[in-house]
Amino acid sequence: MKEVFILENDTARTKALNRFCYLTALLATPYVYILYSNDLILPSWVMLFIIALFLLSPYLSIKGYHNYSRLVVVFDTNFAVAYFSVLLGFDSGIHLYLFSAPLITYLLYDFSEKIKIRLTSSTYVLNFIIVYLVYKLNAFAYVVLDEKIHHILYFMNFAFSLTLCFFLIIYFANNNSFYIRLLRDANQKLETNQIQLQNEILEKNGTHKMLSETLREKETLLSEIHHRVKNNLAVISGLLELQNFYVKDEGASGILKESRNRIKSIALLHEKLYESKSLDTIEIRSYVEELVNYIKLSFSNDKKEIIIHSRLDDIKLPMEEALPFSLMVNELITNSYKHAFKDKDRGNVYLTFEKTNEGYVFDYKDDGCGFDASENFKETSLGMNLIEAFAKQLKGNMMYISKPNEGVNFKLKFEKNTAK
Amino acid sequence: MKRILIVEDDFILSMINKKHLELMGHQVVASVTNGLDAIEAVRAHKPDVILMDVRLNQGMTGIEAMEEISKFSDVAVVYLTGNSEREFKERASKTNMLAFCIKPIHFEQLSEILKNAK
Repeated sequence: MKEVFILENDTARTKALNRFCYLTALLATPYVYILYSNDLILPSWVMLFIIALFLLSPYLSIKGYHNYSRLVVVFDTNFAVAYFSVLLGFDSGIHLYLFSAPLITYLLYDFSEKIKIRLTSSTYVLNFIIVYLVYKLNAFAYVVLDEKIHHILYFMNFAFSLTLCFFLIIYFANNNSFYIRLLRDANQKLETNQIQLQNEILEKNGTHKMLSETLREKETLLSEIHHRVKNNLAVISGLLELQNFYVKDEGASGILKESRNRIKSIALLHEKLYESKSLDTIEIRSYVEELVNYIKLSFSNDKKEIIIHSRLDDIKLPMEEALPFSLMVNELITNSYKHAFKDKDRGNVYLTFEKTNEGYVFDYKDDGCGFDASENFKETSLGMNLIEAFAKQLKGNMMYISKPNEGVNFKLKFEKNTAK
Repeated sequence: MKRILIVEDDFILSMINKKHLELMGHQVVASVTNGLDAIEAVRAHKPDVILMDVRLNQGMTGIEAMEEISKFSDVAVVYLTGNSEREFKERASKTNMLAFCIKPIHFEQLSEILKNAK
């Protein structure tokens, strides 16, 4: 908008300057005749030279030499006033042209070009002072014209300088209305834009409010779902535990306890998921630590001192991986508690979970009695079947090493889930 | 033996908890489903311990109900909750809280908590 404004303004200024030059050249023509008819041959040639310079200025401007065009005008006006004031005398009224100098200056330059305006104005002021001093000091012998011619010249100077002033005033008045029109248009556009923006803001606020409400509803629903899931798991777990009170058989009681622990490991997973900010990944370290504590508590009646040493990297798993992983950890620790330390009062379990370039490595060891990991055993043990299923679910490579009296070593490698 | 009030809006869980507590040798003085009934039940039965669900379907939450109860009774409370958000815990700890248990509750753990209650 600003660029358009400056461009339009500059074009109007150049046009006005050119017209001013044509008008001045036209007004100077009668002087040539008067001077020539009064035998002032050289001054009449000088006047022709001045006219030529006034015509040169628009030519330079058309060719794109705007600065030279303006300099020519400044020189030409100063030279014309100085030369003819000295030649024809101060009282010939040539200096009257200098009264249009401020208007000429503002026609030549924009208000922002302060230095150029000051320099140009200074030349006119200096010119006037010199002309006046020359007149007062009588430094030159003036050409003495006939009184009638003198009066005609004075009248012409007065009338023509007034004409130029009128021309310039009309230009500035037009220019002013041009500014006002341009500003009014710009203002109207701004008002239209402002209304559009206000409408857009209102629309966006409405959308934002709607989205916020939807989000709040979804959060409430999610929280409600979590609450329901946890309550349902609590019901199942509670029923299994309650059933356990009525079961006298130790084997059946153990099965119920194992089932309850599996439920608890899933419930704990939901708890961690609900706590997690991302709502789709689970922080494994804190999860496993809590699970280990829970399993320890559930076997606290066994009165055995089993120390679980865990070294877990900061790993977050998505729910679809965290679920089989958690059940697998639960199964392994439960197996160690149930079988590995049957004939011992104390034992150790070593649990590591590391992040590698390829994915994750889970390593589980105990220093219990170990077992014969024959194919037949793998097929009949539910725990082993479950562990294999969990490993498959994780798309991992599983390795199980165990010999009687040498403990158990289970290793699982699986890749990062890149589905998301 | 402790005299216990159960505040739980899930009837099945409430029944399971009641059975467990009775099998542990405690007496369940009442089972209610909302905060207002809990306040009334405390006035009426003066229990030793309240087993309070934090999230109740109607009206006030378990913690809000306990804040009201604390104005006239120093009964101890065991909170049961589906989530362990810090803001709940912090607010709950300002009441006469024995424990803040995450569902599903481990009844052996609950037994220990009740044994240590005054």
